[in-house]
Amino acid sequence: MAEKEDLVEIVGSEGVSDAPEILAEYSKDKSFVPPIEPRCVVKPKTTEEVQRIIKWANDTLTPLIPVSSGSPRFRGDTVPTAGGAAVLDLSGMKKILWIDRRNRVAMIEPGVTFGELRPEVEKEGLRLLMPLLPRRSKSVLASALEREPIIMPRYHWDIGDPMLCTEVVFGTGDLFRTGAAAGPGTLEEQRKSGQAQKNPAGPSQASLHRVIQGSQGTMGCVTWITLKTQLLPKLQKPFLVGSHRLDSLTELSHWLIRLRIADECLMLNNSNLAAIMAKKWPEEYRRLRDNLPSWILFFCQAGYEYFPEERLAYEEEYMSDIAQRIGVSPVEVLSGVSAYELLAILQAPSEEPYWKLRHKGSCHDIFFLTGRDRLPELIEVMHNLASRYSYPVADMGIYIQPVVQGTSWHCEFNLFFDPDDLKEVETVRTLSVDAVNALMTEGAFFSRPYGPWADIAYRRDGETTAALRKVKGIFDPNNIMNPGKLCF
Amino acid sequence: MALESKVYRALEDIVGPENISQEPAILDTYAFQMGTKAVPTRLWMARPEAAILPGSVEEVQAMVKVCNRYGVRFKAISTGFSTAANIARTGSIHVDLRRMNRILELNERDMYAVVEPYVSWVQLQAETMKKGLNCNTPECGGQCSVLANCTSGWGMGNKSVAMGHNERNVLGVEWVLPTGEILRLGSVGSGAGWFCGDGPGPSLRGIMRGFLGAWGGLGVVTKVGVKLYHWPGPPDFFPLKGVSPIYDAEIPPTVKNYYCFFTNWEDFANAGLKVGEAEIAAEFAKVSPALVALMVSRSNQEYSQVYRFTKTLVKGPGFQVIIEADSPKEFEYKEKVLMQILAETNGKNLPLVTHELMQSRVISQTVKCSAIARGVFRATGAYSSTMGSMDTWDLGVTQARIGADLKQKYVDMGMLLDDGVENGWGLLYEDGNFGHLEMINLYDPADPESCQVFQDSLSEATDIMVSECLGVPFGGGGDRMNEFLGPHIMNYHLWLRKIKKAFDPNVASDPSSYIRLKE
Amino acid sequence: MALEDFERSMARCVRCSLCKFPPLEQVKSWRFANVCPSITRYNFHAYSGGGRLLIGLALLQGRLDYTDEMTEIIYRCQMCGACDISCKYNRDMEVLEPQYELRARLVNDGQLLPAHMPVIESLRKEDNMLQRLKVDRGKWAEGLDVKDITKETAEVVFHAGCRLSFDEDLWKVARGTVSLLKKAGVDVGIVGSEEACCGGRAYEMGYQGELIKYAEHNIDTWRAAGARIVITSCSDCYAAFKILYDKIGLKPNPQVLHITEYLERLIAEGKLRLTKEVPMTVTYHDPCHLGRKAEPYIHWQGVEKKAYGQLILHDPIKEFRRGTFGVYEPPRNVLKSIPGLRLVEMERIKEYAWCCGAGGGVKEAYPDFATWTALERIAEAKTTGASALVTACPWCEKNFNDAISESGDRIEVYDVVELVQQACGGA
Repeated sequence: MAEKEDLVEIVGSEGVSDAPEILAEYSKDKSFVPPIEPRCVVKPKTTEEVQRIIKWANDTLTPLIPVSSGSPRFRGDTVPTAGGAAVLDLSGMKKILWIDRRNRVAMIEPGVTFGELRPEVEKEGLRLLMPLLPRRSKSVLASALEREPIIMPRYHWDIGDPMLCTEVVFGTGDLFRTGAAAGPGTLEEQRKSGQAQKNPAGPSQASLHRVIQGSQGTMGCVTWITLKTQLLPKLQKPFLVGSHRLDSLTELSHWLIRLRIADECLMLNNSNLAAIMAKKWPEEYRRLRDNLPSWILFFCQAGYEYFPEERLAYEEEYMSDIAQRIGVSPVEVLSGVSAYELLAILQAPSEEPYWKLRHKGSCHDIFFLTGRDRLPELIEVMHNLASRYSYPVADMGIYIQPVVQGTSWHCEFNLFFDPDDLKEVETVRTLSVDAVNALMTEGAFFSRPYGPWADIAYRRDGETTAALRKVKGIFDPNNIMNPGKLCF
Repeated sequence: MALESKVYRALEDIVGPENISQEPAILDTYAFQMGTKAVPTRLWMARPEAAILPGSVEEVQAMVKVCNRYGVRFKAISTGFSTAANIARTGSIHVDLRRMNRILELNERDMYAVVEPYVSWVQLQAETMKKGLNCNTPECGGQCSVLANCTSGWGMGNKSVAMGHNERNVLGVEWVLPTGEILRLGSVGSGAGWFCGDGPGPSLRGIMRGFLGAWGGLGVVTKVGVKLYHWPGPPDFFPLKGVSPIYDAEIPPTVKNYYCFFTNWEDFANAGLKVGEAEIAAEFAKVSPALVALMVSRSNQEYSQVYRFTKTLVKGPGFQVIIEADSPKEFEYKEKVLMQILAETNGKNLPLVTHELMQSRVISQTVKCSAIARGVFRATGAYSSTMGSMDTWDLGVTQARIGADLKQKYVDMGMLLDDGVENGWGLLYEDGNFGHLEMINLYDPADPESCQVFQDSLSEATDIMVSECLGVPFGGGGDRMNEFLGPHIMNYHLWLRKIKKAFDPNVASDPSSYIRLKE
Repeated sequence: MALEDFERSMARCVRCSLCKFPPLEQVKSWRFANVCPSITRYNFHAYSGGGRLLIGLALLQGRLDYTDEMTEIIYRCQMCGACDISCKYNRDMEVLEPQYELRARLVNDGQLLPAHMPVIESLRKEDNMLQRLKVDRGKWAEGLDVKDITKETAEVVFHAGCRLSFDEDLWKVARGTVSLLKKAGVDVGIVGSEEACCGGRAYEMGYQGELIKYAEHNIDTWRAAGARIVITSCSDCYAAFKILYDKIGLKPNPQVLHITEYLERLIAEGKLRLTKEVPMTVTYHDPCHLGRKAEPYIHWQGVEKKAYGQLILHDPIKEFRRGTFGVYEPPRNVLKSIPGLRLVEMERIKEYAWCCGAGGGVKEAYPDFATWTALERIAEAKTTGASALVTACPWCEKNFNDAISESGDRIEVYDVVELVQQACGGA
């Protein structure tokens, strides 16, 4: 293949593969997106190589599918939608470029995983703003680009957090740095003046990092990001709160976030918490699930450098008063689950096997954003639909995460299923499409529309679709970057 | 070039005769702006062809369509407190959004509000405080437009240490594009409410504005959802006694203001970062003895006496911190931490500011953001900012030092206020994750020589921002600036131009403060 | 001073819009956050205090020619002074004074507002602002056993003012004032049909010459009467006598007091005993001319100088009138002395009170705007839960009552004097 030679010239022969077994791996993922095989997989090591590849793709009109995380992948965004695509696998770009304690920032390449980054930042007294138990092969950069919610909502100031600045090669092949990283000057010159590539906004009158985030690689290819990090606490005190009433827990969450007295703060239903905690399957999972209340709030209070005990003391007092007012009881151990044990689990990526795969081997997630008041109704919609499709409601995992400091709520349904059971596969597949339709009709906002959700989401908002196509026309006029995704 | 009568009639049909005018006396009040030109006769920017007052998004849309049809340019203005609000050349109409002034939603449970363009910060704050919430009032003042500040302008204030930058406080948006479509960002566009301004997929908030807003160069934003934050104080603010210009507030013992100062920049910088990381400040700003003296004095005469006092007491850079707490225990903790930080960094707390009267005045002005005019306008009549880029607190310190060096000669010439020269106003954002600093230059707009210095210092400062790699300055937007800075900053101006072309092919939205298309 | 004398000050407007709002610490709600009736009603920036400064500046700099609409913009303003106070909360600059000069400039240049012309013509003929016959001026006092100071001397002269003299609905206030003074044993006299206008409203409409004429006349009248104190129940007249006459260098020799100041004194001295309960919840409206515009005038002649390079100072030191020393407490103290009466405050009070709508020639030229302004105030009064709106100026009372009649709104309106009378058993 002539084009393969072009690519070999850019990345070297070890960086290009068209072996069938390799192509098969990238042709599908765990979603229901139909598999399409790419024509090759190319693995650059530097930004310059990425730029050359993208220019080549423009010249040859070859679709490019950027991928940063290792398998298994789940969302369908890295499966080609058209034939003849080249997968641009950046997972080999694994440099942790910079960690700066003073400014609480890390700069990383796409291939760096949570497991790799975490110990490095901890050496500097920092910790990561993590999503919920990412899989081991998950790219930190990809997670940030996808706007995955983090489990410490008090530090989630903006939906883009923890991502800050980026270096990106747009679909045109142009190199750009967003935010303060744009300049003037090189990164070293900027650091000399005291900068740390932190301010994500700009440069000047546009914030292009925002059109890159959430774009599923359709605008360009990001070659590094800076990432907000948080201090490692000196003291931590985690709690579990169980209730059959979700609104009691969301009310407590609201105050924990509003008064800034908890770091980690998330809700799981019994099925999800059991899936996370269980070591023996299926007995322990079932026992935990059946003993746990319907809903569990997990939160952790912390003290830092200055008088951590005193900080914890007044924060715990506030928390107790509020909990008492609401009528719930935060405890250290709930139905045999230890808050400390859960805290340790949540501070790291998921152990293998990936927690969502432990129950039945596969999982399909449906997630959206909503306001607090809508949560019970939307959950009921999902429950009703599940029942209609004979999906066992008791098996369904639910994860509720307050985001952007509690101004909206990420609601996630985890549909566990056996990928070898065709009936279950079909049930989950059809249920998920109907569910997305029904939830959207009831006011769920699918801010991150993967696969078939995109059509449904964009049909509801024609003006946004038109505007996004204009943006696409600017940054990827030849539509070579992951074509067919979103509304492109 | 006067507006053709058929165009005027078409616009009049939309808003009614009372809400449109071509009267020069009205138009000139949209042409005037402080800090424009070097001589008094040129205090004026371009006079618009007409001023129009739409009352709804439908009227805005209709007006935009008429403008596109007839090739007339328009520029939105709300409180309009900056040269960025004006037009640079004739040929545009001003769209004054004053009639669109409602608070549409105040959602206490999800902590956000939805407002129209002419809701001012002080109005929003008065309503949010009733519900135990507060908003990120910027230092341009509580009288300024919430929407303009968040979606189209700047977005920084003393509360930013705990409430961030207003570019990041935006949720749902309703926006009339330059071509007349109504674009609703995020959850609004999907009919799900105002809680999110991003998606589906990429966020068009990034097109709407950057570190700086588009300043009317990309259509008209007509509604915005903004984040709110906790307010531990009384629902109707602190009880006030007294008569203008001195209001003494009854400040509860769980709220207190400090002016901490240091003998060197290193200690100052370290202390600032520690305060941010410790998460103890409700309000924070780098201040100077001159700025503090301006805020607490009732007149320039009084300032000259107070300043003699503050500048003797304060030798070195300093910052103001306000601690707010829900309980005595929380307050004691936070104060203890602050004192510990000062001990570690050889910092001192100015006793003048701990006096009860000073406490009440400074706190009430700062919380309500009422002191801008006192702080930067009363002394000489006007001010300008040099530097002003945002990244880290350390960058702020660098800008303070460079900005002061640059300013020294102008102060020595007597053309700027001698405010100690180093009169940088700087902020922390989001617990110290970001920082910025502007060097305040106080000049007299009625004095041609002082005006000239204002121009020269801005020009020199912009050059230095490039040569010293300090980032995009506070006044770094607008066509001329983008042309100058762009080549040094990833040619961002070319992308901006593409955005302008894509979204405003007819150049209906006045580009003066954004970017012009090139032939 | 002329308009030119304010050019530097006007050029220092920074278009901050603070003139549209009360001093920001005092904003208590979205609903009542505006302080300038003009811009609140008409919306274009030109209608704000800052906007009119810019019009003045533009005129001086030759950017503008006179137009009818410009005249309308300038006159659709009650000259209430709220913009001046709000600006001066933070700044050392004049906002109201240039607006006086702007109006005077218009009048001098023949740019007359048609609606004002008959009023001024009548004033010149009949010495009153209500276009009534001078001979009828004293009718309000018929049957009142009170000295005529054109014939005999009195220690205290009660000046009724044009509104109280001719408005039969409000005669009760003038008559009530005299009754209370007599009850307190005050040696009081009136000028009756020989009384002339104070000249204040004409001054505010730009006819500065009328003020001089009436100042001289009134001061002569009081001198002839041997009066030590001049009392009025009209805030317009009060501000004219106390502030404007002083401003033009004709400070009256007698002490000028508003009736509420004098009542406060009489009550404190035990000369008036308020014994009857008046069980009512009321809210008090600060008339502009008794409140922020009644702050004693400060004469200053000097130059601007700079210190510290560009710090604007004055030589000699210039004190700015910021509304601090208006007459705010005496009316309140009087109301608080009334047994059974409960006083609740509106959101916009004292130096940042919302105008009643009648001043500056607006009642004469733009009655709809005057009504609109009054209705805004009435809406605010009703939010307090008060059953009555109390004021201390007949122009305010008249304008509120007119607005209520037009709109069908329901709230009672009283002058302070009326409630004091009730508390004295209807004396």
